[in-house]
Amino acid sequence: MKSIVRYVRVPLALIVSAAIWLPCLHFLFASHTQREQRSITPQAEALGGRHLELWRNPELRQLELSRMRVSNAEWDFMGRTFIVLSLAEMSLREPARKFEHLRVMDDIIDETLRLERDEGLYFFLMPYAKARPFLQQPARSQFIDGEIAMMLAARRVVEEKPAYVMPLTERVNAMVSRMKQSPVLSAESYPDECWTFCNAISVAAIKTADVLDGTDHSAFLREWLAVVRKKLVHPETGLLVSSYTLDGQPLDGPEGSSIWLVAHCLRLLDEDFARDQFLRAKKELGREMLGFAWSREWPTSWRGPLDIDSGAVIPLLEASAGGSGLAFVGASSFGDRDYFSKLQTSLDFAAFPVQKQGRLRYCASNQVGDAVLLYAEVLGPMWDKIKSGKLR
Amino acid sequence: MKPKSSIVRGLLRAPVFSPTGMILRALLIVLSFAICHALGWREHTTFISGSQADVVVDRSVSTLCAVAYMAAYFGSVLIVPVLLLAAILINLWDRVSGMNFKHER
Repeated sequence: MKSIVRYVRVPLALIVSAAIWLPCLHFLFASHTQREQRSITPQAEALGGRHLELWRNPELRQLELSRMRVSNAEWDFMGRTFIVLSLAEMSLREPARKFEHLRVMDDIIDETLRLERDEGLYFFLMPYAKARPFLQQPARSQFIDGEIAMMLAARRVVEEKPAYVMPLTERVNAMVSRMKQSPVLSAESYPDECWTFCNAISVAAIKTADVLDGTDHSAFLREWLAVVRKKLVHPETGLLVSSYTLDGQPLDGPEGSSIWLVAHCLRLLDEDFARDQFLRAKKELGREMLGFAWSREWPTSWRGPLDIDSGAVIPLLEASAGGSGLAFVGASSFGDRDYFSKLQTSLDFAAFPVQKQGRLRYCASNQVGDAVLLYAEVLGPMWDKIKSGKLR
Repeated sequence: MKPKSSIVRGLLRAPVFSPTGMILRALLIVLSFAICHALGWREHTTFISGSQADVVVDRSVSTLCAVAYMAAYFGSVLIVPVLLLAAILINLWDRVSGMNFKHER
């Protein structure tokens, strides 16, 4: 008897200890910050402080951008977009700091436009963009056009800037005319590769431009939505696919690194469809355990190739860095506080935060990842304004 | 009072799955985490996002540092508390039951 007890008590003690400790672990990392509708949380303040520092310090910015551009030039560009969107939201939340934020937004937009003009289309694209020609000529990327249009529009939502009126109008006209040439009303981001992510940001920018300039693309946007719902839905999940050819043949199925932001952008066109996509994404991709939450990159019914947007995917849990980062945007946009706070707990547990002098960054992330997290923290007022149709 | 050297020797000789052995392993994990942290290897965990901590450091070296850091960190927050709790539970068990596996200590 004594020898049985001797050998059983150790594994038993380990099992009981694990059963006690693991369910308690999330309390160590749980955030108790209440997110108010109109204020900026200390977390957002600290993340924002880091980004403002990057844009005020050219050396620091160059170091950060070079670290990302080694892997993916797209992140340099997307980081700009999410900072501009975040600063627009922060300006609307805290009008007292509007001018400080507008200055940085203008610097980012002007530099981005300059780089696009001087370095060309491919500067912000991955090298495979040069592997074959774009089908639509002259070559343009909806990835670049959509996000630049959104940056210009967001800046103008905060405060009108006459110098940005024509660039936005030209960009919107170029996007719409190219989208109309495709049977799925989409334009290429890469040669014969359309991305739902890029086209969703583009339609959000077109909608915002309509509200800003009194133009009317409502018929086109309705048609776009109808075509997308008819031709780009993954049958098994009901989620929108991530990428497709110019004539509408799906390439990649639904992905976490795409669908959460797509659902957020769709809110400007059709709140019900957008919410349906969010809820489906949560069911198919969102996962929770022991007080932690994350997002898978792919639903169980479809598995795609691991690409640079997915980030690392943790085996067994299937937690995706890219998908989980963008899940913050979905959870915030659709007011899912429980999912958001559990995502935050996971982030503080496993993304290695570093807080110094009131500035916050996550080591496991990068500049674009942190910019997405900042955007998720502050988004709200801008979409409300655009949806209301009253900007001033 | 035992001399320090015999305490250390006792610690090192303790079987892995004895209370003393578990405490020792817990201390080693925490120590390895402290070393990785002091060396600044936290920065290398950016490889999770597909980026590089430092463009002049070889990517495979950076990944190795990140994996070592993550193993030590997750060991410290997941395994160490379990080992310490288990050591306490085993001690309590032995005291309450009156069974004494002294040679395991």
